[in-house]
Amino acid sequence: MAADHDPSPTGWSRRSLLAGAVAGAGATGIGAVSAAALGATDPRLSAAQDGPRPGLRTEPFHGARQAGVATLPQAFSAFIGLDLNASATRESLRRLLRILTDDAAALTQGEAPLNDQEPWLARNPSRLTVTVGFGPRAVRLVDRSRAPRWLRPLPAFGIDRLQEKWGQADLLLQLCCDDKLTLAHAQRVLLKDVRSFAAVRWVQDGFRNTVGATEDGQTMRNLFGQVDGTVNPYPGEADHDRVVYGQGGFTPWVQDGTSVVIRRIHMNLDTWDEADTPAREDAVGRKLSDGAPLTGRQEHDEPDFAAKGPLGFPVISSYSHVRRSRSDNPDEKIFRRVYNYDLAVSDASGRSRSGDVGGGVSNTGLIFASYQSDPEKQFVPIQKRLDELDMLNTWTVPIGSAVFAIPPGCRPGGFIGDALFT
Amino acid sequence: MNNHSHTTDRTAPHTTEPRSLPRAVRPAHRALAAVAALGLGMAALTGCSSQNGEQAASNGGESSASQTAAAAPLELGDGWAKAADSGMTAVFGKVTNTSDKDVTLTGAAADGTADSVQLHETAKDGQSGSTRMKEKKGGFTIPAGQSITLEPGGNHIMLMGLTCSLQPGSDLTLRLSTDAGAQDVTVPVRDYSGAKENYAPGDGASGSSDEHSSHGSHEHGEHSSHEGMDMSSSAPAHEHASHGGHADSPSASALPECHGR
Repeated sequence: MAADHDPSPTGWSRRSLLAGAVAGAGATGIGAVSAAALGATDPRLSAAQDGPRPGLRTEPFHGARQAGVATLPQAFSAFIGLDLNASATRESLRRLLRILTDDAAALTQGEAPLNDQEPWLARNPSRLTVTVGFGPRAVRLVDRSRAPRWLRPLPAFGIDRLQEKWGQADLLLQLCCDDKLTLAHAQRVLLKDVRSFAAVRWVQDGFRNTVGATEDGQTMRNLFGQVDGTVNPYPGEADHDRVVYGQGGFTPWVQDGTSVVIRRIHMNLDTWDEADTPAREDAVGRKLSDGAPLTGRQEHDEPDFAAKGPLGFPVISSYSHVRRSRSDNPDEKIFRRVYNYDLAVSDASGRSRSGDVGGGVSNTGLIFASYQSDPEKQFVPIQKRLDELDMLNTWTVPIGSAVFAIPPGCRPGGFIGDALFT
Repeated sequence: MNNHSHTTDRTAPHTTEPRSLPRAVRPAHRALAAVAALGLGMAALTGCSSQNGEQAASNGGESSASQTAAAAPLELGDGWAKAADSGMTAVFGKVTNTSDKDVTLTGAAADGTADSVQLHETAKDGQSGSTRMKEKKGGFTIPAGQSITLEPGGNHIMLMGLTCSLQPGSDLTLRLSTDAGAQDVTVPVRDYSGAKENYAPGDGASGSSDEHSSHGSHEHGEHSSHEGMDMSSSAPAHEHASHGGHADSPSASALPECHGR
């Protein structure tokens, strides 16, 4: 892992450094300009005050790679698994992809699609991105010879308690947006497009902090209260292209294509409540307050696994999540872009017990979206280690799993996946 | 060649404009995109050549830019057609007269797709007060430099007697006739639940009634409210995807797909 760098131009940042830069006298970039222009000294007046209001911000749709992967995570997400109709053909899939591309290109830029019956709801794109993924059946329909070896169910893990309703689907629509209303409209428009071609198998709604609630690019917290996703090959860093797109390492299934593994991980908040802060930090290997490793001072400090405490035990336990997820094999890296879920639970009472995936007053977890060039070489080894031993497994249960091949982006005039139809 | 895919037409403007272009100026770019659909030699926009090639071939080669070199001075912006398995359907969009003289859109044809095509207006019925659609005799006159909007619930181009099913995601090529020549336009086909000639809330199951599809005949000129709906015999034409998941064959009354695909 490379040493920490300045905030990347993509907006992802090593949060601790960003916060330091903005707060410090040597501030650079928009944040400093903003503060100076306003005559303000409060570092909380951030860059967000420059430029258009958040609702008007857009992410590019066209390009060699699809948006929604390297994109700075938006506040809300909807991961939608679709099952193609039994009668689906290569040609019908192409028609569907053309429509989805057309409408996604419009919606993400704040334009209403042709036949949008509520066009006013498209006016605040709020960095909407729409990302399309192919399940095994979709790739086979397009071109069987292009189906990547890894596009199949992950190996079974001992900790899994997978539910079929969150399982593999034929197509993935990943919608991410900083505004929930805009997202809901886009979802409705696209699902109307889909209706003649496929049925919705699942929808996984996720969220992070809303815009302005935290610094842009700050590592999110999950509902355990943990800073979640610190170690990540950020866009703009040397590792990112290799990990996600196979550049200079793995052979990508298609140029500028990648994969996403979507694991739905139930988090048992009731049994987590039984653990006090020292036990929680020991399980993770990081401080809850700021995500710093137990051996460090700041979130992005490198953990020192050799450090020993006064009694001679490792400061970061051998069974901790940080220790177990770390590999010496440089191939075993993934790019995470995860979202929380927290479903409404009515008529709730009591407590959920260890190992339960229901009960209590919360239905909470993570939509663990992991992007990598080759899931079997990158994701699976990490997950195997965590399956064997990870203290965090005490409170988490994987209940959904699906793998999708993400085709490249398209140029204006093309459609998502068109490269596979040639 | 003018049979660009609709994705070409719709997204082409993004090639030349900055990502952060203010929303307010975008609609103009969409109108310009229609120029491509109108066959004015926009080969550079052909982003996906093989697709367009197949598209052109599958349209039976019924039109080409050269055939319409002396085309009518019309642009159809944001044009689209409602998908239909059989019977009738309609085409919408913004028709702009780009010349400095008035032009009258007198009719349209969709050879190989529909037996007949009419220009329709929607008007209040003097007696019942209900809205109904009827043929616009004499066509639509568009003043120099002006536009008319064809939209669901308003004026539209009506296709009757479909000879093949218009599937969502495919393209439809129409020939527009004017007093200043003809013009071919290609529009994308989209699923759409509205665009019913008459709509009475509560009639029939959602999505299952569609008079444009259910008539199956040409006798369509001036019917009133209830003649426009034929719920009892109307198959749920667009409910290809059943609620259960995979039982999804098109309705039994669906015609073969247009373009032989």
